[in-house]
Amino acid sequence: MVVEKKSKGYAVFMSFDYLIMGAFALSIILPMLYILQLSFSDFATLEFRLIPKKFTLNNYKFIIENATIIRPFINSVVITIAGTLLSVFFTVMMAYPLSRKDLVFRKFFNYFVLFTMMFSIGFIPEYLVIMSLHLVGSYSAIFLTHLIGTFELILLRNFISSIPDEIIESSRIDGCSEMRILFKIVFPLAIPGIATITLFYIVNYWNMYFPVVLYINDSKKYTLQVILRELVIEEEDMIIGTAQQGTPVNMKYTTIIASMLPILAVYPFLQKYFTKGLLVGSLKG
Amino acid sequence: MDNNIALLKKSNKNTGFHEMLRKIKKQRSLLLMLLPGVIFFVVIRYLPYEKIYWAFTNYGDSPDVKFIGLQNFKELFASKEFIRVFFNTLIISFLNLIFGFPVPIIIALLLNEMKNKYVSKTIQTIIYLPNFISMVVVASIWYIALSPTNGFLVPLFNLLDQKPIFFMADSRYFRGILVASNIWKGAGFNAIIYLASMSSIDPQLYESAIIDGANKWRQAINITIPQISGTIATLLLLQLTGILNIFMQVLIMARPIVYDVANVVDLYAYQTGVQNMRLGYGTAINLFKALVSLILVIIANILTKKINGDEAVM
Repeated sequence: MVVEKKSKGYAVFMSFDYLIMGAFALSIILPMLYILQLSFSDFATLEFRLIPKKFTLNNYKFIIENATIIRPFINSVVITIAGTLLSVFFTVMMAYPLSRKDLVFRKFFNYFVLFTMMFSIGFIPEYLVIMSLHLVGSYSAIFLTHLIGTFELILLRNFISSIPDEIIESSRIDGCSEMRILFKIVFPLAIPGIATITLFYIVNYWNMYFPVVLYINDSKKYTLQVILRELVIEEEDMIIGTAQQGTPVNMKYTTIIASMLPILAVYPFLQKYFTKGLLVGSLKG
Repeated sequence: MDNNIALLKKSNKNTGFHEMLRKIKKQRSLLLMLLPGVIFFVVIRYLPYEKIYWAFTNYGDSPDVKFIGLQNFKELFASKEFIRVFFNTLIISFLNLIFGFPVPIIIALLLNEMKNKYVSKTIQTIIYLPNFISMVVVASIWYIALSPTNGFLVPLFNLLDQKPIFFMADSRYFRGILVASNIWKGAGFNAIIYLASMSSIDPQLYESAIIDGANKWRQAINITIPQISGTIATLLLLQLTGILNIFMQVLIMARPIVYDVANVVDLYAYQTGVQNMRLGYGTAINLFKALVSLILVIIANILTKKINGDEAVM
C-alpha cells in the first residue's frame, strides 16, 4: 500500500478538516443544549447563559399537568402509532407482489408507482378528492393520504426482491398459499427492511405539520407540531394560569424538547439501519 | 417438462393472450394482495388529476359555480402578487442551489478524508440528526437561537451597544436564514449519498496519483469529483426540476411580516385556495406549477439523453 506523504500541507488540510466538521457538529449540538437548559430555567431568569440561573422542574411539571400541551401530545402519539401500523401493513402487502420478478404486468405496476414520485398535481386537487369523500376534518384524511409512501414502498420492494427466490418457489411447489408465504416466510426474512420503513413512517407521522393544518379544523385535534409552531413562531400567549407557586411558566422550550424526544428515542435504531448501507443499497437499486 | 415446452411451441393460436390470462389466474392471490395498494394510488395519486377541471371554473368565488375558461389564469398572470411570489420562489431556489448544493459534497469529501474513525462516526451521528427532527422543531430552534431577547447574538449586540436585530422578522435577512437553516437541516444527511458513491472509487486511482505526487487538493479535483460526477449530475438534475417546490419550510418559518421576500407559489396557492376557499383559483395555480414542472422534467430528460446517450431520470 502506498503511504501518503505527511507533508505540512497535509497537516494543515487535516486540521482544517476536523475544524470545519467539528464546528458544523457544534452548531447542531449547542443550540439544542441551549434550549434544554432554557427548559429547566425559571421564567423570570431567561437570558443567554450556559447553565440555568435558577434550575427548576416547574416548566415540565406544568406541561404534564396542563392540557394545553398534553392533549396535542397524545393526539400526535395516536396518529403516529395508528398511522404507522396502517402504513406498514399496506406497504408490506403491496411490496411483496411487486418484488416478484414473474409478476404479470410487473413493468406497468412499477411505472404506475414510480410516476407518482416524479409528478404531483398539487395539494389542492388532493384536498378536493378528500372533500368529495367527506373526510375533511377527520384524522382519516391524514391516514388515507399517507397510507403508502412511494419511497418506503420502493425501498421494501427492493429489499424483498433480494431474498433468494428458491425459498419462496419451493414453498409454492409445496402448495403454500401466497398469504402464508408472505407471513410465514417473507415476513421474518424481511424484518430489517420492515423495521427500516417502520422507523421512517414513525418519523414521518410524528413530524407532520401541513397535512394536519390542511385537513383538521378542530383545535382540540391539533397535533404537537401545530401547537409548537403556534407557541414559538406565532408567539401565541398560551399560558393558561400559572404554576402552583404562582410564577409564570414558559412552555416554549419544554414543548420543543417534548417534540424531539420520540425522534431522539428512535434515532439510534435509524442510524443502525442506514449506516449499514441498507438504505443506500436500496436507493441505488 | 420437455414435452410441455414442445407442446407450447406447437400451439401458437392466441398464445400471448392465453398465456397472459393463465398467468393472471395463477397469480390471482398476488394480484389481490396488490389491490388495496393500487386502489390507494388511484384514489390519492391519480384521481386528483380529474380535479383539474375546477381550475377552469369559479369554484369558491361565488355560490354560482360555472365554467369560466382561462379566466383564472388571466387573473393569475396579471396579479402583481403572483409575479412577486413566483420570483421569490425562483430566487430562493437559486440561492439554495448555489449555496446549498455544494455543501453535502464538501462534507462528504471532508468526512471521507478523516482517518480517525471514532471522530468521523461521532460527527456523522450528530450531523445526520437534524434531518429527522421536524421542520417545526428546526424552525423553533433557529427562532430561539436568533431571538432578539435571548438569542446567541444578543451578548454581541449588547457589547456593541446596539439594539438586537429581530432576524426572523427582517426581510433583509430572512432568505439567508431560509437557505442556512435548510443546509443545517439537510446537508449532513445528503452527504451520505455522496459518501456511498465515493466508497466505490477504485483505491488504485489514488495510489497512482500519490505516486505521481498529487496532494489532497489535486486528488479531490482530478479523481474524486470526476468519479462521482454521475451522482452529482443526477442530484443536480433532481434539484433543478424541483425548483418551484419550496413550500414546507416557508410555510412554517415565515410570518406575514416577511412575506414580501418569502411568499412562494405553493404558499400563495394555500392562502388563496384554501384559506380564502377560492378552490378554483387555487387549482389553477397548482395546475400551472405542475405544467412548469413537467416542462422542466422533459428538458432534464432531453439534456441527460444528450449527455449520456441513455435515459437517466425516467
